[in-house]
Order: sequence, then C-alpha cells, then structure tokens
Amino acid sequence: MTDEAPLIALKNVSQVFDTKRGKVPAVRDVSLEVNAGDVLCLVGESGCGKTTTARMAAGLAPPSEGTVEFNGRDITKLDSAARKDYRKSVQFVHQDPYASLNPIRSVYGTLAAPLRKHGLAKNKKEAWAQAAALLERVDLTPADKFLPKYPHQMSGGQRQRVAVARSLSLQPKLIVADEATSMLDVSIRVGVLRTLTRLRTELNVGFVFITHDLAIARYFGTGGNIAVMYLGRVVEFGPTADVIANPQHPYTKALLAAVPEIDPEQRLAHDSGVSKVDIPSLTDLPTGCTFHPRCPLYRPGDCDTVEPNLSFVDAGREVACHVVSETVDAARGE
Amino acid sequence: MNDKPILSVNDLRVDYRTGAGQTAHVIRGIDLELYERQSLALVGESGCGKSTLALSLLRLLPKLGRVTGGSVTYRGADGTETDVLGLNGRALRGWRWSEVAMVFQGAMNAFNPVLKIYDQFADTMRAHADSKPSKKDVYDRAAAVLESVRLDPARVLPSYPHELSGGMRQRVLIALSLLLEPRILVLDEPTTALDLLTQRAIVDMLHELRAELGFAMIFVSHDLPLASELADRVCTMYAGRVIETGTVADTFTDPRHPYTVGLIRAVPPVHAGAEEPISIPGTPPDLADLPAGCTFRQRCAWAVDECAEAEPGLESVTGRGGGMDHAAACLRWDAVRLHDPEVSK
Amino acid sequence: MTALTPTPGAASRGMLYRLTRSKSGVAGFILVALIVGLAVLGPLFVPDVHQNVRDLSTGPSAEHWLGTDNTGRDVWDQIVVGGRTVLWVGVGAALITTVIAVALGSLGAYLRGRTDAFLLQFTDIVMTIPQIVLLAVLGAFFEIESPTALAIIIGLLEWPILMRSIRAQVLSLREREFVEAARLLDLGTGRIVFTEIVPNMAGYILINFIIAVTKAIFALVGLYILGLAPMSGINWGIMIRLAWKYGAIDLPDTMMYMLGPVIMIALLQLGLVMLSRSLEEVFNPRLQEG
Repeated sequence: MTDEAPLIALKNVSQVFDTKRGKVPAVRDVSLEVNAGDVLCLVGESGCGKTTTARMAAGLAPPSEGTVEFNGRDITKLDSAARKDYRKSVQFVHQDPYASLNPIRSVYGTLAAPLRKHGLAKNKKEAWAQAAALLERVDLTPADKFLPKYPHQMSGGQRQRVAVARSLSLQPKLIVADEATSMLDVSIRVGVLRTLTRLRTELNVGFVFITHDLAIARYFGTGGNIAVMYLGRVVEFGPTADVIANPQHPYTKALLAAVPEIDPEQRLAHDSGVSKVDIPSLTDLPTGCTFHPRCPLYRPGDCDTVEPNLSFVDAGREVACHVVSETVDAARGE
Repeated sequence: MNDKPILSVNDLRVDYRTGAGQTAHVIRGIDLELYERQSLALVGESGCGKSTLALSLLRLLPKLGRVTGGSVTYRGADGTETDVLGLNGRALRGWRWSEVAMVFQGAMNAFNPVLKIYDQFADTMRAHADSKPSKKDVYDRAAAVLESVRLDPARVLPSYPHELSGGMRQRVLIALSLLLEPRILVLDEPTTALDLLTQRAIVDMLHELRAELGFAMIFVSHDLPLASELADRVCTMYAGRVIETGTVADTFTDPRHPYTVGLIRAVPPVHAGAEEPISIPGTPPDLADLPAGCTFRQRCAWAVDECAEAEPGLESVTGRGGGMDHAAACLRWDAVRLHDPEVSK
Repeated sequence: MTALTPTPGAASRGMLYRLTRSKSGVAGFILVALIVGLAVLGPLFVPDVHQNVRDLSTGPSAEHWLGTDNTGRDVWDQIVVGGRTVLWVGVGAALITTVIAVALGSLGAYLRGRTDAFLLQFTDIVMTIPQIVLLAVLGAFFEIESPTALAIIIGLLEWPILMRSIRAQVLSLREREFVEAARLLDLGTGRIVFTEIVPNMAGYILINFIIAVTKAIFALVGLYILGLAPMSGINWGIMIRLAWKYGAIDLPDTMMYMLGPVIMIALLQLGLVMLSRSLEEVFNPRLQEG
C-alpha cells in the first residue's frame, strides 16, 4: 500500500446554507476518503447531509469550512490544468434519469458532446464508435440501436445507463452516484448496480454511492465502506457488510430494525427503541449529541451537553456515541 | 370474517386517451375481492395500472380515463349491494369517503398551504354532514381521529401544513380519511416519500388502527417487503391485469407466476441471502400496442410457444378442488418455482 | 409513478397531432400562408401598377376592382404589390429582436453575477428609448430611405422585453440536471447555452418570434401614419398614410384605398396571433388536457 494521498479526501468539511428560515448547517465537520476502485456508501434519512456531502466531493458546491482535496491538493486552489484533471477524474450521476438527459439530444448527441469538446474524437465517425463503446460498457446493446434514440423513447433504466455512459466519457476515476437507482423500477435496479460493479472491477472506477435504501447499500457497498449520517454528521463508519450485520450506533440499529423484510424469520425485532419524536429541524438542533432526544441509550449529563466525535471501536470501525465508546473502552479493560 | 366480500370487482376495464390521440388499455379485465377487515396489497411496477385501479374504485379517474367495462360492487354493513360504477351525483358523494376513503400518492405534499389543519377537518366534515356540525363537534371528532393516529390534536390542529413534518402530514391524511369511519381504506404508496423510521412508525400504526377500528385496507405499492408486512393477501399486477393472487405466505414463498418470481428475486434483502438478486430482463410493454398472447412472455424464462397464442387467465394453483385462494395467470404455473436454476441468467 | 407507459415517439407524433387538431391553428396557418403568398408572389403577376390619370379616385368597377387612388393608381394592384415591404420589415425586425433577446437573455441568465447585472442595466436603458422620438430625430438628420434601415431600427428597439422573458426561462432551465451534467463535463459556456439550453426553448422562441412580427408590423404602420417612415415605393403602410392624408375615408367610393390595406394587415396579424396561440398549445400539451 503506497503512501499516496487519497483520490478524494474531505477534511472536516461543513456546509451552511443561508435560507429564509436562518442558517441551515447541512453538513457539520465530516471527514471521509475515497480511492479509485473503492466504494463508499453514504446512507441516512432526509436532512442528514449525504447529498450535500457528495456534491462537495464532486466539486459542485464549495464547503463553508474545511477542504476537499484531490490527490492531496485543495480543489479550490488548483491551477487550470489541475482543475481540468480533477473535473475529468470525478463525475456525477443524478437521481432522476428523466431530468439528467437533455430531451432534445439523441443518445449519440449527448455522448459525443464531451468526446468532441475534449478532442477525444476528431470526427463523427470516431465519435460514433466511441459512443458505441461507452454504451457497451453499460450493457446498453446493440449500441447502434440506441445511439439515435431520444430520451423519451427509452425506459428509466435505459436512460440511467446512458447517464452512466456519459459520466464515463472522460475516463473518470471516481463517480458520485446520488440515489442513482431510487427512481428506477424495482426489478431493474440490481441490473444497473451490477453494471456499476463491473465498472469498478474492469475500469477501477471508485464510487461514492448515496442511498436511503440500506438493502441497496449492502448489495452494492459490500467490499467497501459505509458512512451512516444523521443531521449533518457521520455517526457510524466501517466496512459495509460489518456495519449492517453488526451495527453499533443506536441510530444505525434503529434504521436496520425499521427495514421491512419479506422473510418473517429475518425480521429483527422492529422495536427500534427510538422514541417517536420526529427528526429535529436543522435550524433547531438539539444540544450535545443531536440524536439524544430519540435515543434509547440517552444519558442525561453528557449526551445532551457534549457532541460525541467518531472514535474507533474496532479496526476500521468508528462510532460517534459516548455510551458505545465507553462500553468498548471498558471491555478493553481500561 | 363474513363469507361474502365487501368489495367485488368483476372484469374491470379502463382506458386512457393519450396525448397523441391513441388509447392505452390501462386496466384490461381485473377481478378481485376484498373481505371485511382484510388487508390487500396491489403490487407492481410503474405502468402496471395499480394506481389507476385504486382510483377507479372510488370513481376518481382523471378526465382522460374512462371505465370501459366491468363492475364494482360494494356490500354495505347491512348487506345492501351498491353498484359503484352506477353511482352519480349526491349518491356518489354520500357513498365516497363515508364507506370507502382514500389516501392519495404524494398527497402529503398537496395540502392547501393557506388552510390550518383544523380547517381541513372542518371542511371535510361540513361537506359530508347532513346538518352543519358545530365547532365543538368538529374539534371533538378531529381530536379523536388524530389521537388514533398518535398525533397530539393541540399541537396539530392549529398548525399549517408546512409546520408539520412529512410523516405527520401523512398521519393527518390518514386521520382525515378515517373521519367518517369508512369500512374500506385505500392507500396509494402510503410510505413512499417517507424516511425509514417514519415509515416503520406508520406501518405499525396502520396495524394498530386496523385492529382498533376494523376497516379493510387496499394499498398500492411497488415495495414488496412493505407489502409482505402490511398485507394479508397480495395481487401482483402486470400490464393492466392481475397475474397472481394469493396470501402473503403463498405469494412470497411459493410464487407461481414468472413475473412474481422475478420481482421477488430482484429485491436484495438487507441481510445477504443465499442467492444473488437478479434483474428482470427487458422492459414492460407499451399499453397502447400490446403484443399477442401473454404480455410477459418476451421477458420470461419459462416461456414456450403456446404463450404467444392467447393471454392466460387466472388459474388456481392449489390443485385439489379449485379455489382461487392462490391463482396465477400462467400456462406453466406448475413448473414455476422461486428457486429455479433456470432463472439464473 | 404514472399509470401510463410512455409511448415511443409520443413527443413528435403528439405535436403534429395537436397541431392539426387545433381549428384556430389551422385557420391561422392558412390565413398567414395566403397573405404571405400574395405578398411574396403577387408582384410577379402585377409587374406594374396600372395608372390612369383620367380615373382619379374612382370607386370599385369592373376595370379597377377596388377603385383608384387620387393619382389614378389601381388600388387592388397596390394591394397585391404592397405586402412585400411590410413583410420584409416585419420579419426582419423580428429576427433582429429575437436574435439579440435570445443572445443577451441567455448569456445573462446563465452567467449571472456582473455580466447579468450589466446586461440588465443595458436592457433597461434601451427599453427607455422611445421609438417615435428616435425616428423623428433620425429622420430630421438623415433620409431614411430603405425599408431595411427601418427594420433595423425597429428591431433594435423592440428586444428588451423579450430579453427579460428569455432570461426568466433560462434562469429556470439552467437549474435542470442536464445542464449541471454538461457543466460537469466542462462543455464550455457557449456550447452549453446555445446548444444545450436554447434548443429547449425552441417552441417558446418561435412563438415569441411570431409575436415580434406582429409587434413590428404594428410599429411600422404606426410610423407610417405619423409620417415618419420613408414614403417611396408602394406598400400597405404608405397606402394608409396617403389615404389618410388625402381623405380617402370621406367618400364611400374611395374608402377601399384606406380599408384595403387595413384589412390586409389586420388579417395578417389575426392569422399570426391564431397561429401563435395554437403553437402555445402544441408546445405545452397541458393546456389542452381534458
């Protein structure tokens, strides 16, 4: 393992939005890393900041605090050549396949635009061939049949594959996928995810994968890491399979207990222990640990005064909870 | 449980006029029965017609939709039968909402933003009362239903919709639909736009409500695990027809229609199962231009030549002595299995 | 999740269908086609306007279908040849207006910041220039002879309002995800604005172009009536001016000298408006629902 800087590193980033209702701290002190070929899943409920975090990683929104680094360099301070390199290396796939394709452009037009603009294809013949190759990468075949089509002539799954193909046109090292399968029919989600997994194994493309669906996160993210977010912070982090099979933070446990299951034997006790207070508003965060009003492990005194930071509970496993950290420390006999 | 269904749908057919002047056959001959206190899930993906079916039951189709055949019969508590499709004007308004009520998809975002929640309740009650209810009547009744959906009336009634969270608004909608104590509650994607924990709370609440108030439930969903938790029976829909019907146990452990099999196998469980999930190849057919024979055959691993001849009807799969308790619209239902090596592509 | 599966080709098939279904749209189209046809092709059939100095200000007759004017020229002939200039100025001015409005509106909305502020300020300034006064002043210093010059002047003064509408459209379009995707691919401002965004407004631009033609024609007729436009040649605007000047509306016989061109222009405007209304429905099918 070389000591190189990670491909993308978020270092203590925060994002505060100025809205009519006041300052909304959408992301609060998040640090994450991803490399080519990795998978990082960001999961959480609405308002947790996963989309905002991902957009900062993709350079779509500068952080209010902290830095986003590309190969060790702050992306806001890159010279134009490095900035171009960054832009090519990090791409984004949107949630809505109906909105992310230009309705008046054919698939060929959409794919050829970046190829021509960046000189990867010098004429129509080359562009057509390269566009066809891209479609083959995303299993949209026969390519010649799809290239002349317009978005309204294709299904949601097909459009999303075109969007992925487009994101591959500049040979990125990392793709940020924001709920890329949430708007697709259930029966085709797995197919699209398989295609993305193949991109990982064949092209060594890394993924930052945002989803609210824990089953999808488990399916796609196994082999990589998962970060569970709540109200703008990461509350649990670790290898995906491990976190899902063995959650430590009470919020993660609650989420997993809430997932509906077909097999009655697999259903965990659905009593998540979370008291039925709704998610607090970001403009009015609880003091200390923001989860404390709903937490079954709530301890008055420290949980409502000091916000817990992520601390290691095992190799590669971090949890932001006073109670859990103490229990782990105690078990280590300290 | 009474032995006669409280709602029977017979060979229902619904068409939509599309923008290009064509006709899409959105519902193409559906039979179903709902019994007292039963929970029925209409499961399927986009375009299968499940939302249209739900809307048809309450005669709430948009202007471009038309019922072109079949019947819907409602059997009241006193045994009288009502031809729902024949109701009109005052009779329809009297029947709707007081016998059958509906919570629409995405309705939690469709509240009138300038009306307080109290006003929403008041409006609904006034519209359906014979005599104008007093403020106290409205408040009392509203508070009662709000409490049954685990909301605090003092907090909710004076608020505007935007002051409540999505989960709370959804509960308010359920409360509104229960105002007139309907015998059947229809819900279209009741938890789709909600967070996981909120969804869990609503599911649990619906279980409790059904036990307390005794209504029957029809809910529309694309989420199979959710259906397995909320429903007693499942009707799986594809291209405008019911292609499998059965209890939750039958449907999810022993599905007999290839589409149901495909759907179940396509959903990854949150805890890794023994088998890899696998997508269903191909795309759904164009409802304005359907292929001959079985509409699923081009995507089906069990298809044979006969499948192209005619569209199969629902056949009982329980073998001994008929009984449509578990039925599938497939010529080869006998060979279809959930864990079939043939299906791994 | 909708209840309908999208039909392949629905968009273009639907548009043509909706276009032919609108009775006023078809009527408008026919009307415009006829008048444009007359204006463009008419002069081929009437190389010279018949003039008979002995038949001054006569009423309609077998020889002169709509009578003659005060110099003995046949009114019908004048109508046949008189449309070209009006169309030339109308369409020319509208083209100039549309191009400027689209270019400035799109760039300002897309780039935001100082560019947008500057362009808005510039637009406001141009909006305050009164056409009439400008023409009167220009007319005093220069001889505005050609219709082309007129087209340019009208075009250069009509664009501000359209610029703001286009800007509003682009402000909303630029937030669409496919625009963000284009930015992520570093496609470049010019390319993004003019090949990704603007074509999505094609319908809107077409409709506004038609409206700009009607506005330009009205402006033109107004200028003629006020005597600020060049009076050489024969066109409907000049006819109206001269008819007014020489009192053609006073006598029933000579009324056609005034009414003829007025009716032609009115029909053209009517046809254009009907066409633009039905195009609105074509591009926004929701207006037609139910």
